[in-house]
Formats: sequence, structure tokens, C-alpha cells
Amino acid sequence: MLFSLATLLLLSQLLVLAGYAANLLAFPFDYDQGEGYELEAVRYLSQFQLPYQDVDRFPYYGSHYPPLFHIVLVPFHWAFGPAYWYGRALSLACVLLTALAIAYAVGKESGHRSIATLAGLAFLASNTVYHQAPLFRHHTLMVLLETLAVVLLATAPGDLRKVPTRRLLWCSTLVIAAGFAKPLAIFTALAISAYLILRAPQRAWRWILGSALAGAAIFVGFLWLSEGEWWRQIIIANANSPSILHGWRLARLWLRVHGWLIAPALLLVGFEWYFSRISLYSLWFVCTAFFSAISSGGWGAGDNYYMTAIAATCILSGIFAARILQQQWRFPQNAYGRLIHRLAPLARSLRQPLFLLPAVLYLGYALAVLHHPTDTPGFRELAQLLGHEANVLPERPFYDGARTSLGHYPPGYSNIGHFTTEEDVRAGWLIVDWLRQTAGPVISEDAGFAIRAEKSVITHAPFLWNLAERDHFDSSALIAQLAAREFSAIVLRAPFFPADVEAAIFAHYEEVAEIPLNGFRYRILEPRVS
Amino acid sequence: MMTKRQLGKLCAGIGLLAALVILALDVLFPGREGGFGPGQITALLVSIALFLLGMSLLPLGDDPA
Repeated sequence: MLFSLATLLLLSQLLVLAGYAANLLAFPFDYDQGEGYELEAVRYLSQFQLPYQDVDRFPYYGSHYPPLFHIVLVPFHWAFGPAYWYGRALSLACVLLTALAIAYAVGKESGHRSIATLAGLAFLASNTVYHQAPLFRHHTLMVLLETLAVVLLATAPGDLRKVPTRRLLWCSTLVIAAGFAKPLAIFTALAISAYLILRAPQRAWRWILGSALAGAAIFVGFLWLSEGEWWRQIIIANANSPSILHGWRLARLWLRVHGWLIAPALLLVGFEWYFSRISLYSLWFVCTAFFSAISSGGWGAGDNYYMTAIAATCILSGIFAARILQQQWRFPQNAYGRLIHRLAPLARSLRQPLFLLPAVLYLGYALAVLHHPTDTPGFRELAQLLGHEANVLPERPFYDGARTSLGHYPPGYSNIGHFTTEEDVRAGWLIVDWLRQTAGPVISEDAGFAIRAEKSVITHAPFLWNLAERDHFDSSALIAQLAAREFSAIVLRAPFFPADVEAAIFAHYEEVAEIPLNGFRYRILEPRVS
Repeated sequence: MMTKRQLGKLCAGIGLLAALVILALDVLFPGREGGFGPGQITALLVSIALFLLGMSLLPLGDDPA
């Protein structure tokens, strides 16, 4: 009964994800800030140019992400031109494949198909995974490649010292590829290195050295091809100092929302530490959770940094649950095991309640992560039954269990997940039409409007801000162009421009319209007449 | 193949070394701004936890890690 309820709730979250994905696949503009800049990077690569341009010169565009995600999308750009749907579809496919890999890992380890299925569904039901799944962004590709690398190595049969070299090479290739989707994959590389050192130290050093050399060779290649811009854009622009307070708040949110599965994952880690061999999944969980907690509080970072740790959590908690149901917990006669054996009579009396534990954990998790529309038939009744009221952006009928009833959330938690509307699409085309009617170049803080208006993408606001913060952006040329009123229109959302650029914008341009779209106010500015 | 005792010694060593470095930061760099801040306290707690976790592995001897 409890298992059926948990499965039903997790399946309902899959349904919400399907609706969200369908909604975004049809949405022709930026949904999450920055998607359009990624599409622009695909355009550069489709013309055999690197997106790592000299940002001090017109069009002041660059990218702070490695190019794997963009490269995969180049054939789609050739076939369909600039569009969001294929990047969002790729991202969704990555998330679904990651869930399958999680289910496979749990099934392979435990042989328990129902729990394996629940583990995969639990990953898809996470608020963080849900938010990121259908976005035109890199993160999901990195998580998929990391998960495949870990599962490939963890499921290697027999002694790791005798595992075929081909499997290690595949593992290495997947980790390096993940790193060139997003550099956060370094944490997974650390976990795999630690695992190899524990189990097969001699092979470990060869693997670490070989992988590091291969990754470094590709890195130097990009450095050379981009004439040094790669260093400024991938390393310097991403070197944000993490805020401990923001990191702490996000860690608390992660614990609160995913705690039902984190607790069993931690218990399994503890069991392996004292009573068994330490698995790759445990090392992966500890490494990614620890480093996510440290790095997620930085500017531009956020709860999505926990996505890899969530994958590891789902695998470990699945194995934990399966072992309970299959009565596979065995404590060896070591120094601590003898203490546990003294508790055997107590454990026998708790056997029946313990069998309920997996169902309770998954049900508790499903209720904690719950997110759904509050106006759609079926979910409306669920919202009434559970007393959920819409708590996302104003006037959006959507409930997100990770937020407070007033819609509050810690800085860095993605303020997305709601569905877009017909009005949003109409408002987007209104902005595009406005830009089309202007004669000269335009700056749009959400690049999608410029792309739809068949104008060049000029600037990459948050990226320039990042560089300016580290004194690595010379804004003089851009400010001179702004002062000369060379741009016929500017579309602002946040704005995220460096302070001196923002000051120049407001000194030489005036607001002529304000268009609400997707919960934000887009301001259109035109050159001042005076 | 590493044993639990070897792993314990490694973790305890790293934890102890890290804790000493964190404590010595203000001595080594007296001009540092901010004093002993929340970042240092968190890092010190993590180091101590690693040390204790490492020490707790020592009784497990030659069991494979």
C-alpha cells in the first residue's frame, strides 16, 4: 500500500516533468536566463568558429562553458537553424538516460527491480533535476556522462586489478568528456581516482596520469585555438568565490528536500566504512556532496550543482532499501561488528517494522519533493487534498515543495519550474517585432530575442560581469559605442551588465516600453534624443 | 589493495595536517583580513571529523578497504 502510494506519487512527478518539457520544447524564447547565449555558442561552432572570442571587441561575446554540449548540437543547427527545442530535448534525454543508468546500477547491485525503478523515478522527481531537465544547458549532459562513467566502473565484475583496460579507458573517456561539458566533473574524477587507489593502487596512478594528460592535451589545444581566450573565459570567468552563507542555505535545502533518501545513503556509507569494502558509489556520493556544498554558494552557481550528488543518493538509497527487503544486511565479526551482534535480539524484534522502512522513505521523499500545477485536473484535486497552494512566481498556478508556503527560497535555488503561457509567447514576439523594426544593431540581455529578430547577438551580460569583477574586461570600446548611441535598441531583464556598462546604458538610452513575460519585466530602451 | 588501517592512517594524517595548517594560517599570515572566520571554522571542523573517522578505522586492521 505504502509502496504503491510512493510509486504513484513519483509517477505523477514524471507526468509533471513531461508536461513541463512539452511546454518548454514549444516555447521559442529564453526560459531560464542565459539559454540564448548557449544557442549563440552553437551557431559559432556550426560555422567552425570557437565561441571564445575576444570579449573586449565587438560583438563583446564569449562563453564561460566548455564546448561539448554545443558541439553535439551543431548538426541540429545545420539542419533546423537556431532553435531551442533540440537543446532542450537533448538535455531531457540526458536526464532520462541518467535515471535509467541509476535504475540499472541499483538493479545490478541488488537484483530488486521494483526498488531499481523507484530509484530512477526518485531521481526524476527531485526538484533540482526537474528544473534543469528541459533547459538548453550543459549540466545534464555532464551528469549523464559522470553517471555512466561511475556505473561502468562500479559494475565491473571481479577484482579491479584485473578489469580489462578497455573498461578503464571508456571510464576515462566519459569523465574527460563530462569535464568538457562542465568542469564540475572534476569531483567525479576525484571519486574515481580515490576508488582506484583503494582497490588497485598501481593501476590507479596510470589511470590518473593518463586521464590527466589526455584532459590537459585537449585543454592546451583549446588554449592554442582560442589564442589564450580559453583561459580567461573558462578559468578566470568561472573563478567565483563561494559565499559560505549561500552555500549553507542551499545545503540545508538539499538536506530538507532530499533528506528521506540522504539518510539511508549516509547509513550505507557508514556501513561500508566500518563493515564492508567502500564502494565507488559511496565515494562518489561523499565527494560530490561535499564539493557541491562548498561550490554551490558562488555567484552563478546554485542548487543544480547538487544534481550529481542526487544521482549518487538515489543509487545508494536504492541499494540500502533493497538490502532491507532482501534481508541482506550482514555484519562481520570485526571490532565494531561484535558490538552490533550484541544488538541482534533487538534487531530481530524490529524486523517487521524495518520491512516498512523502504516504503516510508520513498513515500516521505515523494511528498517532500512534490511539485505540480495547481490548476490542471487531477493535480488540482491533489493540491486540495494536501492543502497545497501556488507558491511560485506571481500569478503562476504551480506548487513547489522546496519553497515555503510564501514562495521563499534560498539564493541560488532556481526560480523556475512553472509553465509558460500563450501570453508569454505573445509578449516574446512583441519584443522580437520591436527589434525587427529597428534599423541598427541591438543588445538583448536574453539573446533569444535578437536571434529571433535575425540580429547579431551582442554582449553576454553575466559573462562580462564575471570578467569585470576580476578586472579582466576592458569595457571602453563597448561604452564608447553606447555613448555614440550606435545600438538602436536595448532589451534589459535583470540587468546583469558590469556597473560601468549599466551606467552608460542608462546615461545614453531611455526606457520606452516595459513588457511582462514569464514573470519578469523586460524593459526596452532606445537612444536618448538629446 | 589498501587496508582499513592504512586508510585510517591516511585520513587521520590528512585531517591532522589540514587542522594544523588551518590553525596556523593566522600565525603564518598575520596580516590576513577577517581573522578566524566561518570558512576557517568549517574547514577546521571538517578536518577534525576526517581525523576522527580515520582514527576509528585503526581497530579494523587488515580488513580490505
